[in-house]
Amino acid sequence: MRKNFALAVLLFMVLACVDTIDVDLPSDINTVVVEGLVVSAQGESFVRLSTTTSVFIDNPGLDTIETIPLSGAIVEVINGSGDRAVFAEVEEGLYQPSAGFLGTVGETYRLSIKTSNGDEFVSETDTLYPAPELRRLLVEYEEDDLGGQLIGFHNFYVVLTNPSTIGYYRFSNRSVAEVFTDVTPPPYICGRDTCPVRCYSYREPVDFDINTFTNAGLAGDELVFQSDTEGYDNIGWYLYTARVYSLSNSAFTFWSTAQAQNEIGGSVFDPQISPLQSNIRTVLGRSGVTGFFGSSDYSEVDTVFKRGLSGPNFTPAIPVSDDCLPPWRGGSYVKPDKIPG
Amino acid sequence: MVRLLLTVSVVVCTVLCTYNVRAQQPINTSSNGQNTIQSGTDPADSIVLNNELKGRTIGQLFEHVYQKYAVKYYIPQNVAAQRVDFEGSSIFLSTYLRSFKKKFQLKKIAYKPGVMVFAPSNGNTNIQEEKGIYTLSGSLVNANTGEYYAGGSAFVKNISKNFNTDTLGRFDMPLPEGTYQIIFKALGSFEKVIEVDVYKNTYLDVELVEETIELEDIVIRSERIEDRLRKPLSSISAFDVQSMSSLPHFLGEIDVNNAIKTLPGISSVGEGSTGFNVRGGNIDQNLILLDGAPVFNNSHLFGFFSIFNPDFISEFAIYKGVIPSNFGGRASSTLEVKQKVSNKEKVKFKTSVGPVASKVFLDVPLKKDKAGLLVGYRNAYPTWILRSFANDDLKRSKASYWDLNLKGDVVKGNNNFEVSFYTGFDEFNLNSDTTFNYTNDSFSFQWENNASEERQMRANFSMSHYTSGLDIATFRQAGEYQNGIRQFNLKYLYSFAVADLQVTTGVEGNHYRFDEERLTTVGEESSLEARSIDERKAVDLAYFLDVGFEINSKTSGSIGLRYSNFWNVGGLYPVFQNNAERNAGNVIDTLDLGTNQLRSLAGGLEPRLALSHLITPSLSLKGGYSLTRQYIHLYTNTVASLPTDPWKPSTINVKPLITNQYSLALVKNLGDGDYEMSVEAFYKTLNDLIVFKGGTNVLLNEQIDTQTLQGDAQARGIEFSISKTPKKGIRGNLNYSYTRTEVQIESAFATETINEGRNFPADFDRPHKLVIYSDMKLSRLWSFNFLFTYNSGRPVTLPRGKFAFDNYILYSGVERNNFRIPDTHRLDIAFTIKGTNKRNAKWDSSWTFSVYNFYGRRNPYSVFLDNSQGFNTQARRLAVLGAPFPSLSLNLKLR
Repeated sequence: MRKNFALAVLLFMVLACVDTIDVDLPSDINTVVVEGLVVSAQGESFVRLSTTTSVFIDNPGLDTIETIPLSGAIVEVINGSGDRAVFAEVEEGLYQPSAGFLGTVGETYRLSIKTSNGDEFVSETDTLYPAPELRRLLVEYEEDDLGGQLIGFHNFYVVLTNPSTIGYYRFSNRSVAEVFTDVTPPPYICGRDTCPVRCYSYREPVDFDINTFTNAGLAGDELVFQSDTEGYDNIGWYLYTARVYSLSNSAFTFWSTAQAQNEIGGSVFDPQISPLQSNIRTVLGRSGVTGFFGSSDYSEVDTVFKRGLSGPNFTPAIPVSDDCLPPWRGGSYVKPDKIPG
Repeated sequence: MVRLLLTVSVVVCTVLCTYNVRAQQPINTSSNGQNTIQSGTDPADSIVLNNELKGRTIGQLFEHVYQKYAVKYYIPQNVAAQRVDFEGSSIFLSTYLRSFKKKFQLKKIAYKPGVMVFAPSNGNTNIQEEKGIYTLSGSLVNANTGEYYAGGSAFVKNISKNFNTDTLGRFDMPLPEGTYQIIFKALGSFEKVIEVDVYKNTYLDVELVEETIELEDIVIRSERIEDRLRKPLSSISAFDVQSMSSLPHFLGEIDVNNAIKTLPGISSVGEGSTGFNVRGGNIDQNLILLDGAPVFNNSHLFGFFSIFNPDFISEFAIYKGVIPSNFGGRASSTLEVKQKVSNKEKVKFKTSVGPVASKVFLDVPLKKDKAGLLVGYRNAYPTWILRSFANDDLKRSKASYWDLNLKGDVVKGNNNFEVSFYTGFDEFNLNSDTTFNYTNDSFSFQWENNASEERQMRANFSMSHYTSGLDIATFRQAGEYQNGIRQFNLKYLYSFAVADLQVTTGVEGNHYRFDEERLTTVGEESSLEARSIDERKAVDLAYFLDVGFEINSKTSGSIGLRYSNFWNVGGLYPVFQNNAERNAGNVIDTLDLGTNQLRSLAGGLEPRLALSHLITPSLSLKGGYSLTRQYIHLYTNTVASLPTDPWKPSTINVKPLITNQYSLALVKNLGDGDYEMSVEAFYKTLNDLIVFKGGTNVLLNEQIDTQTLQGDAQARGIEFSISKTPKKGIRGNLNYSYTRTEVQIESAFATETINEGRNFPADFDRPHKLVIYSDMKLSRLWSFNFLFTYNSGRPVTLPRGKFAFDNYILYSGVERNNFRIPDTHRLDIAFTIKGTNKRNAKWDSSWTFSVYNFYGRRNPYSVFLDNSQGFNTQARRLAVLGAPFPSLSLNLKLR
């Protein structure tokens, strides 16, 4: 008789390994990327045009998002009545309408683009739905023991009024953190050695998680959704703003596929990466196109709280000196009004 | 890593024990209630024969004495057929023997303790003994174990005459006075030549040394070659447990899953993955039966082991081509695992106890030759070892499983009754807040009536229940998730012969219950939202008929018909607008079947045909066609299937899967049966195969119908196999297959189209597969075996470009399975040395040293993109077993 004793678990976990390999993928660097949004707020509608880059960029030091802007295009947004609004290029690859342009709830919009090399792209029509009423924002502090190291988190929950009809939404959250010391990596690059005054970093969004949700199938006047979980990385005041964009059905599909792409972790228990459900198509020319043009209403709610008060095991702030470095891209060291001090 | 490996190897170096409870000779006392015999006395003085023995044959009497008191009596065969008779209700054996000797003119020879021989005495006897003719009788004894060989022969060279032994290894050779050279041989033993002087009736026990590798070790198939040539059905691989033992085992474990993955045309997505893929079929397309009861997840510990306890397995067969029509419900294959029945003669007990796993096996006769019970229990508990590691990931992980087998059987005349029960539980947590668990339960009852060789009836009832769950312990999000499936099966099968036709017909019914998918919160602080998806129910019914026929001596065949129908039972089903994109906005109605209302969904004929033509005595041509329908499906959308993946029925929104398979094979014998070659090509179409939209989460997904796509697939391949199975020498197999599986999902709607409607390879499409294994006897005690496997890498989906969108990193150029991960290959080796063959040793022992993944190949399980470094994306390779894994096991068997 042959007997045995199995340690498959040990094998699986002890001998399993993840390493970096070279993968020879054909590059898709000529696809046009359209990011367009009509918003029911003054000055916030835009269309950004760029092209895709290679998946693997031979630049180990690169830690920010690189885009290749597409300039010189003619960009128009047409509403349901056929009225056309021209979006002019205000900076390389960024197109915005005139100051009077404002998205309207219930209106439909579509996009037309003619590039300088003769390609033409159009979008499907997208309807601008209302955003829900946000009632309040809740913050919860959580500690977790990760292998003997105590890690703090803040969970953010948005309480909203349940819309009377089925709606689709996504969170887009921002925060401003009060930063005292030379915290790296970004967005808290605050000084070479020390910072003389408080530096404020501003980044948008707060993290890299896409978060879509719907009220379909949910009952009750009031609904609660978790908008974020933020790692606790520095003591100080913290301004958190949760924004909820309304989405059309097709926009919800696009953002859901984007969310799925975003959440792929590479585990054997993860689904494979999925293609985006773009609503842009090529009508003239040979260039491929991806991205999404949508229209949204939004609501916001924010809160200010002092991190560190809720966690007893964190190092106090380090005294700082003068000489703040320019903040991370998209950030600012101008203190927001809502932060005390 | 090296230190870690050594640690593991020590852990698996475990003392393994086997106890075979049977007295080999008279003993003084017994604590187990057996009658006992005082050593040093005539045992017959202590043995009482009671009234029940009257009327039995004398042969049965002495067999009874042997079984009960371990005292062996040898008597002439013609005496054995006489009936036992004595006066009174009981009698001492010694008293009986005195009258017995007198009646049959016998004399008693005390050959050795516990063994008596009655030989014909001189004088007036009814046993013929020619003058100068003497009887050389005796037994063939295994020198290692002391047990008698069940079958063997004695060849007397001087007179060129062969004598076969009986089933107990006994022989009787009437020989003229003289000196003879006799060659004794038994199955699985070395030959032994003895020179014997025969000048009187003589008794002789011949000790034969067991071959280090048993004769049948290497034979992966258990069918005879001639049968394989003539049998119309191709693509069947039948195994017995012994036939698997030539493969280097993973940590020494004989395992069904690992054995069948050596076959051409059968693969998996990677090492340690659940299930197996047969000829381009998903893992849910395999009907797995354990004593007739369906099994929904046959894996323990991520798929490294199967749920089939090797101590319990009698034999198993996998049908990957034409499946007999009495099997149905799955599209690609049937794996039929049969468990042993009790030996009904003696208690057998095996156990092993170790630091991470233990098991016990018990074979108990309930009534001699009539009824018996098998009990088996296995438990693996490596969690405490994981927690002793310094590695934090391991400290936070846990894994364990246990399973219990029970099987009872009763033989009554021509009827056999079998009852089997299995329950098993798995639990694992890979350094996360979420613990996976799943349970397999099955019960089956089988009644088999063998009225004659031509007429047989079998009725089978089974129940299977599979449940899986998640324990979520995330801070303030504690909850429990659970789903499951249960199936009741009733099957009646009747076989009979009409003229030259062999007919099998019957009926089969199934009731399925797809348990409610349920997420419940744990604790008042949990912010999880309790949710559920209603249970579903369904039934199917099938009639089947198989007719085996012979056209002439060279051509035979089998034609099968199965008619199946499937009903949804109760429940609510969304009705989507016709010719519109399937999304929540296009639900125009709900089909309400109430609680138990039946709605016939689909059904139809499933014809099967197999033909075989013997071109020459050693070459046959076989062809086959089959159509199969599958009504229930495993919803999985991850690289490796999760135990929590739910089973779901076909509904008005999910069509049944239909496959058509055509196959053609050539089978050739070479070298007097030492070599067998086969080459087989197949082509298979799969209609309405389920594929999910990218990123679909299959758990608790109320919109799953909107994310489920169906399309057509084609699988084609060629399989080549050569096996060398000589009676002596090196044995081995080489199996190669080339299999392609391509899927097409197209629709009028872009969201329901994959890769713009072009064909794309299935997730498990691994075209080339090569398996070579061999078993070599290096010396009488040493043996060596190896297994080499090579597989093409499987396809994965990787993007061709990326871009920034609202500060998120998104990907473009994403086409399903557009990239193939590197090929995988691995060599496993094992050395075995047997211990002493001394007859008086108390233990049989052997050491096996094996190395899994001998040259430490980092075979990629998956390749994925890592964005943890911001926009600087990197490709990562996950290798499940990235280093050599040695193990050492000591095998001990108590004689």
